[in-house]
Amino acid sequence: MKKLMFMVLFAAACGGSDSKTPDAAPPADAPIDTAPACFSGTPMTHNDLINACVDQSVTVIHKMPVLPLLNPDGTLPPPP
Amino acid sequence: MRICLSVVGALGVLTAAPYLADAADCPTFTDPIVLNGSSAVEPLVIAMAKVLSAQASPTTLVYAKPGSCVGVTSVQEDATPTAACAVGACITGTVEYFDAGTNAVTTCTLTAPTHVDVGLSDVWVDTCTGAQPKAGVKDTTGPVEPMLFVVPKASQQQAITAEEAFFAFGYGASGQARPWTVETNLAIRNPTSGTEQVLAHNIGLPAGRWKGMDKGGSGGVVTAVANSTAPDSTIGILGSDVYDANRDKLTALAFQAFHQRGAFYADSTATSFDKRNVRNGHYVNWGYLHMIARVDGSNAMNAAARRFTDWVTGNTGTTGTPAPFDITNLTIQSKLVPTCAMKVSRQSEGGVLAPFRPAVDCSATFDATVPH
Repeated sequence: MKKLMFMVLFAAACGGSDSKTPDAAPPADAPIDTAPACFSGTPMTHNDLINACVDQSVTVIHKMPVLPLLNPDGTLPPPP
Repeated sequence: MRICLSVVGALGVLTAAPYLADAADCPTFTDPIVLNGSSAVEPLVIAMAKVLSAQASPTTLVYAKPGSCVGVTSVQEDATPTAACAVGACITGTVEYFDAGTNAVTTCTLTAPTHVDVGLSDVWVDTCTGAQPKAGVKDTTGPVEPMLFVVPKASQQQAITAEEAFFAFGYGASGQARPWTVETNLAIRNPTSGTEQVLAHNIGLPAGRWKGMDKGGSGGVVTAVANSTAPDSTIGILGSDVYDANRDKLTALAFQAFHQRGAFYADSTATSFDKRNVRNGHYVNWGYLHMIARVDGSNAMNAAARRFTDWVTGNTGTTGTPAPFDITNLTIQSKLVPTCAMKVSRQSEGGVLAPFRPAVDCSATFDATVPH
């Protein structure tokens, strides 16, 4: 199975870094600028806080696992 | 009395069997404060116990660690705290304390049912019982305890999403959350564990429905994960304080919460100790230490419970109890996060985060104290 995990090194205010090699090497053609935008304002809500921009000293890992049991809309099925 | 012995004694055997053979009957403790519950908070308890045991007038922290919800129950059900133990209350069996004579943590066996002064829980009472604390029971919150997914050092895994964790621990092999599809390699706890409950609430999977092998305590999880011969398919759950003491054997995974754009470590990087992402809201798997104690009609705890909660919360001023240590430093050294270093708070298990401004900000002390 093609492993889709890849890491994106954020730039500037939305930055992050990680020097460890992940479990699969990034495909040569892996996009490197597809990380969704972080929240750059003053975080007030839960979603603002968890997605607030971080500086380059913070490691951010972007992972796209393949989970066949996810519902078509990306939501979880009921717990077993 | 007999029922109390059998119920609590059975739990003691279940969770502490490896120690029983060596544990002699407990001595008569000097000024004991009896604690029961979370194993994840052990480093802080031991750090406090060591200082307290060395005082001119020593106090002994007598500590059992069968899990958070057992600790909650032992206090909640103690409707007769100055009389015979009610069903579900009190402890017997293996406890530990710091022996100043040998300068070591020592285990011993409580042979008689003993009332618990403070139940130590990583979770709110309602997480354990489904209801708010009973009348006569008070929950005092203490420092923040991050909870982690951990893998063997040899694993190549770096991160786990909430969805992956849901399928790995909820469905086991059929969940197809590769590589975590071998149920015997999922080192978990049980629904009485605060570690499991905190994580359960953040991945949308009730703690009672987890697949995996109950390792009985944090130590069992460390052993199982560190010694796994199948590192990539092995994963466990731990409090960060226990992980921080075992970083040579384990790797913590970054975690991506629901609706989060990226996975974050509890710390700013895989190798730092700053808990920056816990403190600012990027890492969501955390809960407060809850100190559960009986209160009387005047909402007052017994003297032992009050001293302990005052020490942990830092209430050592005119209305509190002087402590022989700086609790902020001791908390940080024990790899927990004092609330004065937090920028976010929450009001329920796995609940939404909100901005938080402590009355006295100790962030600078925290950052200056942790290793870099």
